Amino acid sequence: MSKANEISRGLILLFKNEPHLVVDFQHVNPGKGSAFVRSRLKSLKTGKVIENTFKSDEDVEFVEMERRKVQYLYGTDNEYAFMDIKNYEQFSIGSDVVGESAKYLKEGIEVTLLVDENGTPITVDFPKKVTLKVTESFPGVRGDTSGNVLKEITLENGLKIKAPLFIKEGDLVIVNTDTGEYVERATT
Amino acid sequence: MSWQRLQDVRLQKRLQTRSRIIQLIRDFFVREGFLEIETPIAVPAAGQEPYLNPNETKIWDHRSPEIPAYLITSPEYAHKKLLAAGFKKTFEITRCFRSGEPWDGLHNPEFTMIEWYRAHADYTKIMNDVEKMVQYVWQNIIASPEPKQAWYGVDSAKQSRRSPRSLHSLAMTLYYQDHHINLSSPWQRLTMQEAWEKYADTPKCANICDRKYLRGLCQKRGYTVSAKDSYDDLFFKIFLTDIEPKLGFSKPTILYEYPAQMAALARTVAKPRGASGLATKQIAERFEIYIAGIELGNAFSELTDAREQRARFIEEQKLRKKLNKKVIPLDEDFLDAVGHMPSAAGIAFGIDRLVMLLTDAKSIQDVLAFPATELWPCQKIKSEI
Repeated sequence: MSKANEISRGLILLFKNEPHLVVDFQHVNPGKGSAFVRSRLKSLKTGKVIENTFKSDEDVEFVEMERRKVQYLYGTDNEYAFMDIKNYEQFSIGSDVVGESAKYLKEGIEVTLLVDENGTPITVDFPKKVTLKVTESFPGVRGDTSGNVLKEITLENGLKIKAPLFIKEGDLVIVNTDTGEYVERATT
Repeated sequence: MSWQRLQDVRLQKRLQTRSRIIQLIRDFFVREGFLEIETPIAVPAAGQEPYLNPNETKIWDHRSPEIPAYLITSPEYAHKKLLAAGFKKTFEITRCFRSGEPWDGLHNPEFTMIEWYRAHADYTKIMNDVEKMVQYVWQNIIASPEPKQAWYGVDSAKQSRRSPRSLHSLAMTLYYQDHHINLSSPWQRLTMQEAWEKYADTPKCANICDRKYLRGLCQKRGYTVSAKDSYDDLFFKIFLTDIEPKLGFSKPTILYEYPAQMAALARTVAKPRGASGLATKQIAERFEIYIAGIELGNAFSELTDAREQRARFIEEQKLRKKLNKKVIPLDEDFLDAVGHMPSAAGIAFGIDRLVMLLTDAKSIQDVLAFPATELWPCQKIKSEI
């Protein structure tokens, strides 16, 4: 048995007997209390993301899975083509495996493919943050300075997100693949 | 090399702002009539909260053998002795040490804390102090004539388009990691019971001090529960998942009236405000302050009953033993002082975290010149939230 304080992004955890990918985690020591690990877990069966807080010394079970670093090449309606970075092998994966995160794909992006013992791809683990170029952004509306003012922008791969008013066409922005939200403007 | 990290201009600016913030905090308390008193960092008996790990060290003079010493986890005991001796309002900005915590974006094993204490007061006075102190620091920082960007958390895009009307509200708006937090008075004050109703959807009559109730609630929500889970464990499984991450986003949140079992050094409430399903003895006068989901400070109306204090310490020693931790000797001088303390209230408040918030820094390492992760790079945590 492993302990919950070993939880780390990208590991597969058995939660209620079903495999879940750890998409986010954080150690917390509330006040002067004992230690906990806050986590966001994505079910590999349903794709649903749930949150759970473990006690640091709680028993958990991890599932070993082969991890292949792959590069995204191109996609059609229901299939995506990738290349294994180590051996240049090319193959396609169904859109059901890639899931909703497919919207973060852009040509050349590197992701991790998790494969079971039969070689079947189980899920794609995206980096927590991806950098994308802004292709469409209208100047913000002046006047409203109260609260969090956001506008919609379009990114190079067609993804639309909400971003602060100062973002312009041609900027690079960082998007959180877990929440789908704008994080910050990339500096380079 | 690690020192080259210090060439980063943004880090240099943050360190300048840090120095200014500490100066302003000191200013504030001196103006309010508090006396700054330095107390020892190396002590014979450290705080013995069961879940803290004080650093052990050794100390000796020119003729004696080595004797064990501890680095403080908080200067609390010393300040209570000062209260017992008749000091009325004291404060201290000091370094504290806590091992065994993750070196992540919110923790460094050595950190800077301010504690302040008021005699003849309860924790509502401390609530007002926190609010006024943070406002004082913020207003003086943004009034500084220095170049603004990356200095502190203001939305630079908004700054450039400001109109006179919005100037005042802008001046009290802290911009932290894409959140706009309004620092103007009054801050949000939520009792623990109200916070559970609001964010965990518990009914008004729920008894959140009851272990059985929490156990059922965890199960209903599909959280992991084991037979070993104590009251605190169950409490935190819900609190940390559903409640804490939502605190202090539109305004700073003062969360108060804690279950008594979670406040070993606090007085229980005579007449709880937020309670309905709870008996008076179940609630303690403790509060925590949150801004943008980050806990900044922990305050109590202090316990002044020496017999009760001893009983709670002995309970804690037992728990330490059970957790396989070193049992720390009781500070008899402190226990004696507790019996002579007037009614009092005090707080421990993390300065590094305040600097993070006010400089829009993502992690505590960004506001430290020499964070532990640079001193011991092998310990760097690979992935952050």
